[in-house]
Amino acid sequence: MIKKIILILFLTLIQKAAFGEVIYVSNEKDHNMSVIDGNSLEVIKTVKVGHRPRGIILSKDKKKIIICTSDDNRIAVVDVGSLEVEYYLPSGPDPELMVMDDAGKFIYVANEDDNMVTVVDYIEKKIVKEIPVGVEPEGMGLSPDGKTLVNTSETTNMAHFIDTATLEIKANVLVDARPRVAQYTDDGKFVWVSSEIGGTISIIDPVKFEIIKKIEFKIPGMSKESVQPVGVRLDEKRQLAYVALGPANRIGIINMKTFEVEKYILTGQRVWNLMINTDGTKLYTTNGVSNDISVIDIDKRKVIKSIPVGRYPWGVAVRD
Amino acid sequence: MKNIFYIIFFYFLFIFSIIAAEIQQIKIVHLNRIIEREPTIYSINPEIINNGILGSRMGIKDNNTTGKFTNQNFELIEQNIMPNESAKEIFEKFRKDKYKFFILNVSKDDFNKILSSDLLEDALLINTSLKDNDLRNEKCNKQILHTAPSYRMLSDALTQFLKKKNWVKLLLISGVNERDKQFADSIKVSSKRFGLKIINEKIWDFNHDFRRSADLEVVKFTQGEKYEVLVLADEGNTFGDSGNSFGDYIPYRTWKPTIVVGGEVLKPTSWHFAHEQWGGNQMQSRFLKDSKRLMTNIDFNSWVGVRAIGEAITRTKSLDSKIVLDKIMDEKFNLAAYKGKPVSFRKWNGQLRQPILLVTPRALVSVSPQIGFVHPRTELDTLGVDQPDTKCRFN
Repeated sequence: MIKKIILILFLTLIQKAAFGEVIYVSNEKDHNMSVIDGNSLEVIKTVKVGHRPRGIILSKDKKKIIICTSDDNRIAVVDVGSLEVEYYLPSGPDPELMVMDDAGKFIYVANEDDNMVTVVDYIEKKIVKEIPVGVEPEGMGLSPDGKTLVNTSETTNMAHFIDTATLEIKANVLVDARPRVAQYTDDGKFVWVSSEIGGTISIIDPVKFEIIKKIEFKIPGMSKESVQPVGVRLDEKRQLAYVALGPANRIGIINMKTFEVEKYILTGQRVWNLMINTDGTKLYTTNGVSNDISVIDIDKRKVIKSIPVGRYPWGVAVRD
Repeated sequence: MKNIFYIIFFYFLFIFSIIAAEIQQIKIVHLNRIIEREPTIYSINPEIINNGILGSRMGIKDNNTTGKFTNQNFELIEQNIMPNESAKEIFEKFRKDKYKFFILNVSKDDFNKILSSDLLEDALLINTSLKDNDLRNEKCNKQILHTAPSYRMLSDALTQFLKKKNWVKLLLISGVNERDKQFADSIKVSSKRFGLKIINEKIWDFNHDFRRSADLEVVKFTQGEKYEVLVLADEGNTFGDSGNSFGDYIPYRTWKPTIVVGGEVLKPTSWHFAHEQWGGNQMQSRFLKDSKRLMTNIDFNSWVGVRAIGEAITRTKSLDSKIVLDKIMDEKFNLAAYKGKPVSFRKWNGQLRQPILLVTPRALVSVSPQIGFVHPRTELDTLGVDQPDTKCRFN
């Protein structure tokens, strides 16, 4: 009987471990990906993926990890079971960030060195179209209805609104210097764009193509120049936005209704990208200079653990 | 029937004129002084062709990618000034043709003559190569922006680094030309500012070819001096940065094991091809692809100048140089220049405030301002003459 109980306990544990949350982090300078177990919060495996891995997402069926390997000019597709690179997708030169449509068919890739957005057919494994945009395209955001793609270009300082049916640019909005990340709200009424060098977040009305609000950050004892917003994640449940502030080594928590900054949380150094887990309890940030990721308990608004990963951790994806 | 023809004709004329009017044409003139190269000690450094011009070209290209979405078209007019030609005359020729925006890579003499021109009026000039402190102080002019860092910014950047390392006892060796002297003077001011001590100063005035005898000469020259770091004030043979004179022959030849900084050995500069942080590698690879050579500091100074004009015109949609200048000097105006911090212009002297790189010929060593040097406005203002100390008075 006891043996049986132990066995059941053991099996539940295994199951929990096997089906718990997994965090994937791309390490830009180490050419690999750290795989972190969400329960123990330890790195369980490091996977070689190719040169200069940056943007990282999950496929819609959550069976594959899709990673831009910028210096290899292609996208690596890793199987979540075997944790090995299964095949590559073409991406155009220097892919950096990408977004996948809800149907799981198209991936929109920003080609940083090539001033293009490349549309890749994930099923057919081929390039469908290249759209010329501004200098150093970076942030990619897709509207909830999938009809509009927002791409930001770092040196042109614009958010380009691209019609996904025609794949043509339909509007451009000038934002502050070096826009990095674009995120639609769930209702599709607003687009949040971070400007790293401008030090602001622009909230854009995607119908009128106008900036309706600019959020600035004031951190006591810190010069304006060191506050450099990059990653943006929207927590629709709590109506809070989390913004990674780069060399300010903090994330800002912003009320999405009042646009007020409610709190700053200290993280590792040069915090860039972040991800909320599926049940909305934790936020993971990549810290490029301290070479770790911070695990933040969202309700407590506190860092509960720092996990050392590879050099220059860049992007993060989470699978439940 | 004839009437209908006329109506159609004028209708199309009207439409075309609207389309034509919608695209704003902006012309920026790049004046580039060509000099007769002095013979260097050993001519291993090939002359950099189109130094600066290639930076401006990339700036124009970047402006136009924005411009294509804002209906603005930027064009670069490249003009070399040959050794026998007058910069002032060429400048005036452009002014008579109503050109307003100028990127200057000229000698100090050219610069002063251009400033004395009666046709200066509302021209907006950007200095990309002259580091002279007086141009940012008593000889400043509100129509001039300096993207080249001043000697004081460079000496502050270098001494901050030495202070941070706690290498504070300096032996200062300067060359004999005017630029060497200016850098040496700046080093003295910076040393005082950041608490370093100059143990001794020496002038290097040997003017013979010492490739064969450097071992002996430098040993004797540095013998018996009690210092921690040897600082070179060696600004080379020409304005800008092409070609150095004696500094390359000092390291490893000193009496005692010595750290040498300054000259080309550890050089404070606005840009270097080894710089890859903060998106710098994107800039380097873009430049290399277009220009087929590595990017110099003068290329960078020109690029950031063209970008400043472009950014201000994109945002104001104005070609009035006064409005453009006001925009550039606006407190909120800043540019992303791949240096980790936004760069902007000091309203008290038109100097670009920017991080300064400390580089060896092939590698980046550090970036100033160093951590720990603080300033109430921005750490970047710990480099160069600050507002309360400026002798610049715009009128």
